[in-house]
Amino acid sequence: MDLNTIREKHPNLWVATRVLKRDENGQPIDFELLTVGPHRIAVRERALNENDTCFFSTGDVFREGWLVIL
Amino acid sequence: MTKVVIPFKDAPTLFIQIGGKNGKRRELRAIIDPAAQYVIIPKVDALQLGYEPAYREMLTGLSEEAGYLLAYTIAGPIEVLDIIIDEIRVGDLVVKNVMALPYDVPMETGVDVVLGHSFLSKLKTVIIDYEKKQLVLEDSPQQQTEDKEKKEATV
Repeated sequence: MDLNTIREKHPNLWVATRVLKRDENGQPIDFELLTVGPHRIAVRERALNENDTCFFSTGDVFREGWLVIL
Repeated sequence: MTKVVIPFKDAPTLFIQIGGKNGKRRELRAIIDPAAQYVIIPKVDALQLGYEPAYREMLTGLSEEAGYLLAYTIAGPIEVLDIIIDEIRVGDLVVKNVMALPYDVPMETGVDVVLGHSFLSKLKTVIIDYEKKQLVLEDSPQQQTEDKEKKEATV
């Protein structure tokens, strides 16, 4: 499953995935979805026994309507 | 030298792999922030990757005995403990021994990691090309020499 498909199917959530394929710059392009949820920590806890896990938010960087100052 | 070229949409973000003290590896979405002094990673990841100060904070709380740092954010001062990440990898580009702070960037940002000066300064080139919407990272020969020497020393 590619990044856009995951984002469309599970919008504005956190996901735990296993990377299946990368591009020439090492960026993941194909994922196996392990778990999905609204909370960053809960998603990590559900995938705790997995190694080499990729976690990310399916929301926009930065979310519409938010002003982010780092 | 190793060079990676990564396209981005709005903000300069990329996926990075963080090597843990416990042999685990975790891949997270990061944003490049040249104004940040340190790399910032979520507390839960520092903990689950086996970085000891994260445990210390959990067990004792932040106290002077724990040796916390006072960090200044745009929202005011925060107390944090520093860790040294064994390895941050972007494709074939590998940066070792990176100073980082376990701290939770708000979830609304959509990123987990902030890549600040402690990572970026170990590279030869960092280009954020907003016209081409691409990020270029290139490592330094010095970093490669250090890695080679460490590898040879362990053989």
